[in-house]
Amino acid sequence: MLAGWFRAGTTPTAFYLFLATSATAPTADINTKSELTEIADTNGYTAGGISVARNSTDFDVLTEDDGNDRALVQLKDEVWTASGGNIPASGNGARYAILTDDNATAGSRDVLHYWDLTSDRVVSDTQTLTLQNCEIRINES
Amino acid sequence: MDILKYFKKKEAPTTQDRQYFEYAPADIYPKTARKIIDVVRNHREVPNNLLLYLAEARRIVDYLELVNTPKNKCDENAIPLRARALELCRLWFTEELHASIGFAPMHLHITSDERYRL
Repeated sequence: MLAGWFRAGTTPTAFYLFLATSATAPTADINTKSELTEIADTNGYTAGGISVARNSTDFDVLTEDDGNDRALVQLKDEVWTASGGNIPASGNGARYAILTDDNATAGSRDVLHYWDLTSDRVVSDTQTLTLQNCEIRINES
Repeated sequence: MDILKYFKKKEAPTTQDRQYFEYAPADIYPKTARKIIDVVRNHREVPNNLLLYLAEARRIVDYLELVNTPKNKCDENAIPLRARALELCRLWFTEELHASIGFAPMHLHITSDERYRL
């Protein structure tokens, strides 16, 4: 954000939403994807996660809340369907959903936001994991 | 509640890539709180897109009327519950509004009203 707004840097053309295990809990001090542990890929989950476009399709609800001096941005529902086996294929389940930028080097992607799925989630073969209305709060003050 | 019955659609100040809605908090919070209370207490069915919020609705149904109490008149111990009630009502209302336009992209503008500040 600082690079894009105040340093005339390059803003990402898209974001990525990936799933991480509970091995490392994301905090405000986490900077890049490499500091977290992504779930195992295959069976319907692709390493790096789902691409999220910077448009009204993928960020489909914007709320301007004057009374609380904030804006709220919701992602469209994101869905993973397990096919050919469970998601994740091995190891621990998905505990966090993480939004990153689109750095070509996946491990260097900036962590922008995260959501706690409250427990390790494993999606059985043919079942789906839907993240509904993931919301980012941006405070003005 | 017919969600569209209460909305005031206004032209967006600039070209928008989404439908624009403007609501006053006094239109959103009391009516939505009443609706949620009715849903929970009378075990009414809700569409799948609202199931996400039903667990929280059940947990705080006894406190949803707190949305009608300004923060400075609220018992100190009840302030966190009031905040949860306001947030639940906002999310529920937003989801209903979004569903009413077929989940098309939208911009919801909630105007300022100190009585409903978190």
